[in-house]
Amino acid sequence: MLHQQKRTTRLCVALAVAGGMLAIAACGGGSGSGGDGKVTLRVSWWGDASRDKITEQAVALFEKQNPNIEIKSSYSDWGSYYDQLTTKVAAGDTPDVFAIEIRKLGEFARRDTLADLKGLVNTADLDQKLLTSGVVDGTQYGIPTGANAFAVMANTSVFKKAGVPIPDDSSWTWEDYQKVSAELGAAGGSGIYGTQLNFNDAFLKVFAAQHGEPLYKDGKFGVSAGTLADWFQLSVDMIKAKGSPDANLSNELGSDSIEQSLIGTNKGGMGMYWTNQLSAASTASGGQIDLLRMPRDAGATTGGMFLQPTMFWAVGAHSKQQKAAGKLVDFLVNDPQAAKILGSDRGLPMNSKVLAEIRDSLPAADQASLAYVDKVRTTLADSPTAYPNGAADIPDMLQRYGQDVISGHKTPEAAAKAFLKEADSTLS
Amino acid sequence: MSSTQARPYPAEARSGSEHTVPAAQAARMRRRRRRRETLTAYLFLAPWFGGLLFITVGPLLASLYLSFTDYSLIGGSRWVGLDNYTRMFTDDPRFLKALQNTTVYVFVSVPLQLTFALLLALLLDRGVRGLAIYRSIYYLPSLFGSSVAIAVLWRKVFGDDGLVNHFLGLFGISGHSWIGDPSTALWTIVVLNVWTFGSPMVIFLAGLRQIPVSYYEAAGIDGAGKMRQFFHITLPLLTPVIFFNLILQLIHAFQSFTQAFVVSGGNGSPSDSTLFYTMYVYIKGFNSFEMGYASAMAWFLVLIVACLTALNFLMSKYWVFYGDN
Repeated sequence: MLHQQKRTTRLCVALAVAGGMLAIAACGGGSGSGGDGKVTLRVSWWGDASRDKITEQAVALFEKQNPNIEIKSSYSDWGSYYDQLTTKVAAGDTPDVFAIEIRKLGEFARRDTLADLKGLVNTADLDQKLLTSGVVDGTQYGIPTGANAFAVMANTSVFKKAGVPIPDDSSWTWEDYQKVSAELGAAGGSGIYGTQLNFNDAFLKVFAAQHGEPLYKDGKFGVSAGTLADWFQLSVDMIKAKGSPDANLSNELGSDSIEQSLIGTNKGGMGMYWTNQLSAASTASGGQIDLLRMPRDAGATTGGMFLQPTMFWAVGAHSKQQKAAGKLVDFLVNDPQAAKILGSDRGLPMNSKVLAEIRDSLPAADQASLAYVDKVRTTLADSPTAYPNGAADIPDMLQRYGQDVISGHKTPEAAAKAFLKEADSTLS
Repeated sequence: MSSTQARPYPAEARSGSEHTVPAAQAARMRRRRRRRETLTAYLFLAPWFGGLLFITVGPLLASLYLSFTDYSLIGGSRWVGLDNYTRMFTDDPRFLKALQNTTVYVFVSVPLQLTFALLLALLLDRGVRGLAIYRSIYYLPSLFGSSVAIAVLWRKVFGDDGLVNHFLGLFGISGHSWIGDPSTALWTIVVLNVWTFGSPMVIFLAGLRQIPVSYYEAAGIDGAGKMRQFFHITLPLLTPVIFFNLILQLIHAFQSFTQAFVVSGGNGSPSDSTLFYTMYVYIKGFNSFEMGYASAMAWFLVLIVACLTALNFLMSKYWVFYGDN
């Protein structure tokens, strides 16, 4: 009896220890190069199922071409991407190659987490204006994956139903924009609106450029209080003219996706979005969505529109496989075969050689976006350079103060002043 | 949670009855066996204990340390003393706004939710047929009330084109976007929390079942009406359960995150009217990279909840009635 009990105890101990060991082993799984000279690269990006699939395909092709490089990819949806990335960086476990956008590029670069990509990636065929966006303090830290432009989208079927002609965008002003919106709202009947308001920082960047002011300058907010107040006033006037829904509905729409937007649900004629959202808007509405130039001030000498890098590929500063990492980035932005797989998923391709090869195979929405970019190319302002630290907070701040203004809690002037004060303490 | 008392084993009982081992030796063996059993128990506990130490206590202490630094998540950190804690009250209106929102939310939604839960428990306790089914149905919202799906649904229900406005439309009332109006957005989340009354309700039901029927019978014979019975029998005997539910829901409500996060689109919109405490902690930590400051805010929340719970326990002396006093 006693013997048997002892054996049971011993078995229990063995099992418990084994369990503990397993738990420890599970935490251990490290990375690095295998013993056979094979290099392992850890790659991170955010995206939806379709992006994950094509990126995996492109990566597999790269592995086939480079048998000595093995890729371990990890991806998540947009919502949790930065949480994961920053946690990895904080833990000293930065991926070798990862996607990042302009709002965070500067911050990551200045905090010594990104590698200098000069010499690692061939940038000769890339759009040079766009390429400068990836430069922080004179060093090329990010390679743009593609480009986006901010534009007015017009739902043609809403215009048609209301019997309002699509405006001529070649020289239209903010007043024209408001007039057309009001007309559309009045003619469309109940539940149909002219335009959807938004407080996107890209909208402000365009508007500020028309007043000769940059969005950011020397690590500070570059827009003056007067211009900012005028910008807030645009939305107030738009509501007053009944060119857009009331403040409450505008607030609600402000946190909805483009699928649920006014143009996406065929309830409104216009809205401002990025060109890479065109296909989502078209799919949601089921009708044709046209891209229009951003309106401008009556006296403005520049339209202020610009190409924005959709996102960047970056390499970890302390990666032990920087050469291989650079090779992968080079492949992703320069290889025609990779481009064929990836299409315009990460923005309109801005590699002239690649673009020539794949242009005809791109979906209709992308061809329309490319045609739009070609149309406005000569008037484009410079692409933005990496933002100051803390810039990631600015879009939400603009929305918050914008909502304060249209809800009547603050005057445009007071909001502009308070915004600049808060921006001052946020940016560095 | 289970009893820690050692139970005699059958083997032990038998060895005692055989009378083959001297008493002193038996006692020694028993002690040795018990020691071995304790060791086994600790070994089994080890994985859990390791988890507690490395996954809960460790980060907890680390965040306490970080709350005195300007740690940025992806950079180094510098000791700043109490700066983070003073900044909350002197230089951060958004923090005060978040604190205000959360306080309103907690102190309105928790009493409402508990009242609602108690009323339904009383109704269900009257021997409704199919009680199990009702109980399950009312419990459901508690299960997924804090899920993303329900919060998304909430946006739709209280939206401009939502169920609520369509319902109001039937009476000729024209509504507005309840989640887009800064003065009503918070209340939609309060309603959402009240709607998840199921879990306190189930606990109330169990509490009601504990009250002996004979009390009611005696009171009935003495001529006490239903109201009187409720206030003089049900309520006093239920106070321990009410107290338990109150503490639980208060702590729970202070930590609310998902509902406000989804309903507001992740930034407290419109105009910060749905900026909850935990959400602001998250925004500061992961969006603004101010992890040191976020840690300080998190610890201040711990302090608030701890103080409130302590206060509750102190107050409980005056209104909670345990059968034995």
